[in-house]
Amino acid sequence: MKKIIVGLLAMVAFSSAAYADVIIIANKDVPENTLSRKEIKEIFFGKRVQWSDHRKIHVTTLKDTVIHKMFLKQYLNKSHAKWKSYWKRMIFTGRGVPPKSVRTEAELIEYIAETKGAVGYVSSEGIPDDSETIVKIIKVR
Amino acid sequence: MKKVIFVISIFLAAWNAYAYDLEQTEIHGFISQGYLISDDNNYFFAETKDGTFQFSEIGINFTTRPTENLSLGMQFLSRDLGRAGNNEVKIDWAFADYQYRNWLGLRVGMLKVPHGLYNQSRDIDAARTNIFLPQSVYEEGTRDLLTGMNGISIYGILPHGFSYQFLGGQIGKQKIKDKGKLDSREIRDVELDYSYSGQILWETPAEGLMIGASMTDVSGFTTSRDVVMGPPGTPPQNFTTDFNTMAWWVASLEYNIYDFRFSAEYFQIDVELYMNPPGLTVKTESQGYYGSLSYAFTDWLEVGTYYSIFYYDKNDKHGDRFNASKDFAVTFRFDIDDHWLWKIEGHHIDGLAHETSSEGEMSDKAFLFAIKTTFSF
Repeated sequence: MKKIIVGLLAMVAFSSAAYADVIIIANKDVPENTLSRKEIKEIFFGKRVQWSDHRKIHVTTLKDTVIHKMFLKQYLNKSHAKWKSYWKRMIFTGRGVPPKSVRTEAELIEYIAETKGAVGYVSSEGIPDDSETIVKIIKVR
Repeated sequence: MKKVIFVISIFLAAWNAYAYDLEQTEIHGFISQGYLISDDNNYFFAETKDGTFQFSEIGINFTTRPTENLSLGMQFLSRDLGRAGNNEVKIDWAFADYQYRNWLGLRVGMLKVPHGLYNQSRDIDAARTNIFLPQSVYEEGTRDLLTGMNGISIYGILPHGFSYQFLGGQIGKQKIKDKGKLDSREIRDVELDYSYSGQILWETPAEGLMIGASMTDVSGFTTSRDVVMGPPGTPPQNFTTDFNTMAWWVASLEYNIYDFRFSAEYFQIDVELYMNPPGLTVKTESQGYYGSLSYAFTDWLEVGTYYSIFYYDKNDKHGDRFNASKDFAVTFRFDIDDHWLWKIEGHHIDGLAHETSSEGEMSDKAFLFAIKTTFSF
């Protein structure tokens, strides 16, 4: 029994650590401070397009990187191939265009800091210590 | 000439960049070529028994966003599948899309009908595992009819994982005439009423599980044909068919877990038509359903299979061999990179409900082999 409890605790600790690896960040003007996983999914799949103040959401992603794949797996439960396939479906049915993507975390942070309504993600290592002065870190509930 | 310009424009676009922004305009396209061969019978309006390359698709689309909430887009499509398509360049979709709120958006123009989970994306080979969607729900013969409707739609997301779209408009006379031609019935004139279509999807609290329902009603159109009913030299007679009822619905389920995708759909279409002459009313209830499973082994290899059953008359399941079609399919999809893929697919088809254009002896069972490559940008 003890082993099972220890095992479960280890799994919980591991999953918390995994989620801590990728952080959702947004422009400081974004009214939301927290987002549910469902809302994150809706935003990154282009289904939710406005914040609660009706301002346009500008989604930003990293190009095909380890962090991008971690984000897809952890928050959207999708592989990179499925993600590409989803956006092809959107593009060729006229229902949406893929989010803007940039090469580096520094570029992504800069874009989010400068663009009203922007949201994206970075690794916990990729975010500078003073980041909260330029972007908002979104809590995931 | 039009075709040539169309093809050149695609290649120029692809040459310059895989997908690029011209200020606020996005341009994307795809081109695919396939080969079909069956050991007996002919399927998909093509001479599959002899083997055929008449299986291609080319598309290009343009999307721009004049304001934050408004986007404009259109897609040209040219396809060939045996007697269907014949590489004519057509507008696949073209609409203005204004999203007022997350829960309310408005689209106006030529819109895709929400029929099941995959009708709106059926032209996009890169978006699915299989080459052919299960014919019990997504029959190739009605593909053009189902892809476009001129009208207005509202759509949006609702709390608790619900989303919706409702569409009202008209299918387009030419599409009905083209369908008549495909069935070797030359239609002279079409009178149309309004059509309606809607879909509700629910992403359930169970991670990865989505269920939904869609329905379409195109009742109330009349086709007129010139039919010679007598010995040669007899003047043609006007033959009308009133489609008093033509409505269908689809119940859908999709479950994604890890790299598995399972989907199942049930489809039913009710048709009541009045033919004059001879002044005869015919009612038919057709039924189709399938179960499909796919697994992505790696980013470049995905394997999928489905079993699909269709009954032309659902109340006569043990009727003649033209009443049913049971299709078991297996597909291997290879993604060479983000833009280029190959698919190989085998079908074992039992029943002749989806057999097209064979002459002479037909077999109750046949194998169909398909290979297709697609480049998209």
